[in-house]
Amino acid sequence: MRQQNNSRAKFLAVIFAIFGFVAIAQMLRIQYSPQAAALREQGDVYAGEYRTLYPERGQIYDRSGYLLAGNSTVYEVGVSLQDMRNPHSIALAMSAVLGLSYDEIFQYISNPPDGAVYLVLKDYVSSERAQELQATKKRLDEQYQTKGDATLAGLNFSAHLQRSYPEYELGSNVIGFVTREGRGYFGVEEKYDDLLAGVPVTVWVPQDPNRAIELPKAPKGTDLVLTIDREIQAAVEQILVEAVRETQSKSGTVIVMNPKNGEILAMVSTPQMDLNEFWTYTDTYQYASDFNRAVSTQYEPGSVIKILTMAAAIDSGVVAPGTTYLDMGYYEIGGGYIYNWDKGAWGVQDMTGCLQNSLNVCMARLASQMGTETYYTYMRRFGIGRPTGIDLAGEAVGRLKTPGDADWYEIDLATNSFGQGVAVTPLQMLTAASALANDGRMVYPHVLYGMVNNGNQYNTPTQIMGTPISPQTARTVSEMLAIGMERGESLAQVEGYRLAGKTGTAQIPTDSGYYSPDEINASFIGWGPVDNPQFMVYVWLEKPETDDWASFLATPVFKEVVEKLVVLMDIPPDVIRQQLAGPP
Amino acid sequence: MTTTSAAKPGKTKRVFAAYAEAVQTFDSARSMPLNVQRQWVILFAVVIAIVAMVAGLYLDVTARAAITGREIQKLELAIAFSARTNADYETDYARLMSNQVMQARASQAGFEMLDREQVDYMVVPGYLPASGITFASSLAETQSVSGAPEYHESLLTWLAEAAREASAPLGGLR
Repeated sequence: MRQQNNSRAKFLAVIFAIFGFVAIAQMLRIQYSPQAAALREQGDVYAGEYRTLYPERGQIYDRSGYLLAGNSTVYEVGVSLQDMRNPHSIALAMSAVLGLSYDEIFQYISNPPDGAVYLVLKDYVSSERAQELQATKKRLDEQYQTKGDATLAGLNFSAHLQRSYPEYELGSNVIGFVTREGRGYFGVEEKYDDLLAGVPVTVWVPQDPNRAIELPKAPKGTDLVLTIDREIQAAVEQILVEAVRETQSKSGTVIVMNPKNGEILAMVSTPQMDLNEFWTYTDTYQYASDFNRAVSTQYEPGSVIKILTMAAAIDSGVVAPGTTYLDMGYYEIGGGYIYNWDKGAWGVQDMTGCLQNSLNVCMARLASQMGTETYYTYMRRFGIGRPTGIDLAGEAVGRLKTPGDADWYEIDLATNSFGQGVAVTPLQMLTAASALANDGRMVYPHVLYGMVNNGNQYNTPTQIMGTPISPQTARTVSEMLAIGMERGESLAQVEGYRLAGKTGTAQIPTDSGYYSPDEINASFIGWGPVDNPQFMVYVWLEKPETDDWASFLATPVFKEVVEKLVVLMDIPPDVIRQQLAGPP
Repeated sequence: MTTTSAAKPGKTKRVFAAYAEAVQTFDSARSMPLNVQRQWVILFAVVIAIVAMVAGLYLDVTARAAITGREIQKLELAIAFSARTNADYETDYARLMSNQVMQARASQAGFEMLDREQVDYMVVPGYLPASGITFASSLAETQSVSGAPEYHESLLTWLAEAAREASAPLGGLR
């Protein structure tokens, strides 16, 4: 009997052993089968996700460290369909707090697209609104636990950063803006978009905590420090807005630059916009070139260009400050006649009187005496007709017709000499004139003071664009302009400070090819103190309606700006400054 | 004389033979003296205990790794939250200190903008005007902790490196 039991037990053991081996073999076969590999791959898809880490956009500061462009938290509000219990209460909350349409939201989340598990209801919701929604959700969740009332279950909040401009409109023309796609438009935001945005990093983030890794850092975008001085910018904006209003101008532009190093201290162009509401851009500007007229709009500058003609004539040896001529009130050239602004004859004039009285006949004579080659060589050296290379987006090129161009005529030599038939941007004009205020050296204008990356600061060095005239010529023309202002009792004079400057009243060409009889551009360019220039100011009022002359329109604006500048830049009156600079 | 080739035993037969041998060994083991049997049982129990300890240790390490992983994920969220909060604070502070707000506050406090005529200049010995702002910082972003070699090199490599460093001449290479 025992023998028989042993045999049965052995038989059963064999059967179980066979089952065991078969089971193990099957497990191994399934484990290493192609189907298993495919399933593993499918599983890996859900084991984690590829996540793109966008670095925080670099901040923008003014030269004193005030933040001009930063970042702030906003929320994407969405709904997880599988967690949603009450679409009615979600639609109601979105309608009450965010002002969305109840019907649209209710229809959207009640009849989601096929396969959808998550729906975005609204992005870029402010922190305040999101907190309000979160508080409502919490309150309703508590009520739901006790009373079973409506709930906002399924409503999700995903935080991210958005560009924010704490100074609102201040410096808007220079800064530009960033859209919700994260792309910079205009100004510094566009020019340095790549640097500010940084480099996004895409990483595989596993859901399995056993495989959790420290995510690589997406280094923050580069911070930029601008040459703009917030206080000067604000003061100039205030003055310009008031001037545009008073003169009923279409727009206004003012640039303040340090002529020694090309740093732009302020740059304003009206109208301005609140950069936090960048979507109003199309309401504010008709053309892209309107955003910052200082660099993007070219116009016939009129008489302000006479300072370049005079500098070229003196530098080339054609005339000296004391050279005189008899002004007959007209000058014939290329089959046409050039007249003075008042159609009058000014008699015997020296070169200082020529500038002081802004005589077109004088300028036409000078250009003619220099000849086309010399004159246009000087204009090219001054950078007329080519961009300055400023580090702002959208700079216009300007236009300088030269002999050989199909639309150049001999009379253009004369008209160009007093600012007609030539187009410049305000910045081009200022850059060219920097040679006069900086001993003959033209500097590259720039708005970037420095950039800060990973704790290191790299400052922008001063770059000389060229030396179109000699230091002697520069000082001579500056002196002539200063004398002209003093003799003519210019409205631009500021007591205690010796300044050099020139007005420009320019007619505006129309599409018909003639000049508009009742529209002008009023400009003024000036710098000071003459013996040691620390600022240059360019003023342009477009189509003012209250007066016909720049000396009554743009000149007072220049004076107001200078009066603010000397205080904000700590520039003492000439007498005190010379005493301080002298030997003790 | 005739020879008969021995038939090759089948696979099942061989498995059965091995099983029968094992059963026979087990039977013979049962016939061993009791103290020998006890030693075998103790040995078996010790092996089971060791396996259980290793399994427990593995479970503990796995659980700790999982908890740490969750903490890492939480810390990453906290880092992102802190970065956003810092950005918010900085922007809020800038808004409070903005030119517009400061001018309004100054006006409310009875201050007014200085005019050119109101300024008096005086010589202050040793005074040097500010010559530009510096944002440079020694707190540069460093390499991530897990990027350090201790976190990815093997024990042997680490020991070899430690030995190499220990045997390097003092003062380093010249």
